[in-house]
Amino acid sequence: MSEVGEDVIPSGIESLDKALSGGFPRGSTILIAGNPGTGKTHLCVHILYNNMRRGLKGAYVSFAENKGAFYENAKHSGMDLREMEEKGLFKFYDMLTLSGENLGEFIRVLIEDLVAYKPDIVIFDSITVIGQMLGGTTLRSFIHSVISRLVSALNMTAFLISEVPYGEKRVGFGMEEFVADGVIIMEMEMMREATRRYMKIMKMRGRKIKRATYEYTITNEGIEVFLLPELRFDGQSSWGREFQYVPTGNEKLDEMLGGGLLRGSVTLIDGPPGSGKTVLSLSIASKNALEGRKVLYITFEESTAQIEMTKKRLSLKGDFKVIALVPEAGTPIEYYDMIRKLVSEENAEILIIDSLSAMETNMHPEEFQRAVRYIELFTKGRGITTVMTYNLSLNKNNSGFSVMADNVILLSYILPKNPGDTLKRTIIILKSRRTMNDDRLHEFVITSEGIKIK
Amino acid sequence: MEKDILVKTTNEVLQRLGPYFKEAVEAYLRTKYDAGVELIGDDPEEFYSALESLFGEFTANVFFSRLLSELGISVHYPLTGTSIVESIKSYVNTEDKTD
Repeated sequence: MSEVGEDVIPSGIESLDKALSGGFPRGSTILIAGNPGTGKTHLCVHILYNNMRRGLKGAYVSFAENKGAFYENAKHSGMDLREMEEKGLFKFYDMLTLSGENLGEFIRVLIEDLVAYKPDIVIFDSITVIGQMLGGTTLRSFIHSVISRLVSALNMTAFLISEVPYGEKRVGFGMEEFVADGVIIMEMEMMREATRRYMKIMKMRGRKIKRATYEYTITNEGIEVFLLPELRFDGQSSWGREFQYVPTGNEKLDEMLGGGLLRGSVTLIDGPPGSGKTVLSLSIASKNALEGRKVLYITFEESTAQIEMTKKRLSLKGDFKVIALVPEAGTPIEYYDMIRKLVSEENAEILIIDSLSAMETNMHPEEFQRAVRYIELFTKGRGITTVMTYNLSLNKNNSGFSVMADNVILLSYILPKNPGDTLKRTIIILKSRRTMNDDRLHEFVITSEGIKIK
Repeated sequence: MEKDILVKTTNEVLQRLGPYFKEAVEAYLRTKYDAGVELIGDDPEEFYSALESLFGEFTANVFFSRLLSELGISVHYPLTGTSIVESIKSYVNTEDKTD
C-alpha cells in the first residue's frame, strides 16, 4: 500500500468531493448502483486514475471487459492505464464468467493477489455478475465476510459496481446496500430531448452529506456533479454594499430607474418581438464596456455577426464579448452550469442574456423557472449585474419568475391606425427594487444612435 | 520425467479449471502452434501467452498458480507472468540437469 496516509480517498473530481465532504472513507465498501449508461464504470475508473496519479495503488476486477478493450477505452478518456501498470500502481484482473464451483479457484487467487499487492482502491465491476455466479446468499457472505473484512484490514476502499436493469428500482439481490458502508445510486431520465442524470448519496458512513441528490453529467474528466448556487451575503454580493449603479447607456432611462441599474441586481427587459429589447440590451452592454467593465453578452436568437451589425447600425462603440448559443435541450442545472462557466471564464461583471424565451423552448415551465432562479442566485451571489430579455406576454404561465427580478422594464408598441402613421414605442419601469423609480409611461424611438426616450 | 509430470498435471488442471477449458486450449494450440498441451514443457512462455490470449492474463495466472501448487512449487503473490514462466522453466530445467 502506498504511503500517502489519510483517512479519506478523494474522488479527484472537485464537485463530487465537495458533495462528499472530501471523499470516500478509507477502509470502507462503497456500492455504486445504476442503470446501464449512467456512468458507473466511467466514474470508478476516473476515481481510480485520479488517485493513482497522486501515487495511490489501484486494482480493477472486471467481469465486463477484457484488458485490451478496457485499456483502450480508458485511453480515449485520457487515462494511460498501461503506464500506471508499468509504474506498479495498477493491476487489472480480467475475470471470466464461471459457475459458482469453478469460480472458487479464481476468487482464491484473486484474494491472495490482492492481499499481496495491497491496493488503496479496488473496484469490482460488477458485483451483480459475481452474485449471479455465486447466488444471493453466498454473495452477501462474500461482500460482508470477505470483501469488507479485507478492505478494513488493509485500510483500502472498495467500490462495488451494481447493475440495475432498466425499469428496476431494486439494487441487485436486495441486500448489497445493507452490507456496504456507502451507497450511491446513479439514475437517469429523459426530459423532452434532454437526458437528466441524478446521483443519490443514500449513505456514506463517516462523511457529512449536506444533500442527498445531485444532478450530474458525464464528462471527459469523469462526471461533474452540479452543486446548486447558494445566495450568500458575502463580500462579493452587492447587497451588503452601499448603492452602486451601472449605467444603461441612456441618461433618461438611468433617471427613470433612480440612478441606473443597481450593481449586482437582476433586470428583466420584457416586451414583444420588435419592441427594442435587443437594442436596449446592446446599449447597456456597450456603455458599460466603454466604462471599462467586463461584459458578457449571450445571445440565443442571433449570430455574433448579426449582433455586430446591429451594434454598428446603432453606432455603439463599446467592445464586449458576444457568445451566440443555439438553444438546445438541457436541464435547468445544465443551463445554469453552462452560464456559470462562461461568466467565470470571462470574469464578467455584467451579464446579458438575450433572450430567455429561446432558452425556454426546450424546457417545461417549472424547469425554466428553476434555470432562471439558479442563474439569478449565482449572479447575485457574485455581484454580477444581470440583464435578461423575455417576452412575458407570450408566456403568461411563467409570470412567476419575474417576481425574482429586481427591475422589470416593459417595452411595448402601439400599431399605427392610419396609413402614414408611425409605430409608437413605449417604455415603463414596472418595478425597481430598492430605488425610487419614475413609474410613468414614456414614448421612445430607435435612432441610429440608439434609444431616445421622450 | 518432469516434463511428463508437467504435461499430465497441466491436463488435469485444465480439466478442473472449468468446462471446456481443456478443449478450447487444445484447439487453440493446434491451430496457432501446431502443438498440443506438451508445449508447456517445450516453451512455457508460449503456453502462457496462448492462455493469456484465450482467457486473459488473470486466468493464465490462476491456471499457473494452480499448476505450480500441484507440482509442489511455491507460488509468490502478487502473481506476474514473468515470475510464473520462470518457475516452470526452472522446473523443466531441473530435468535437464538430472539427465
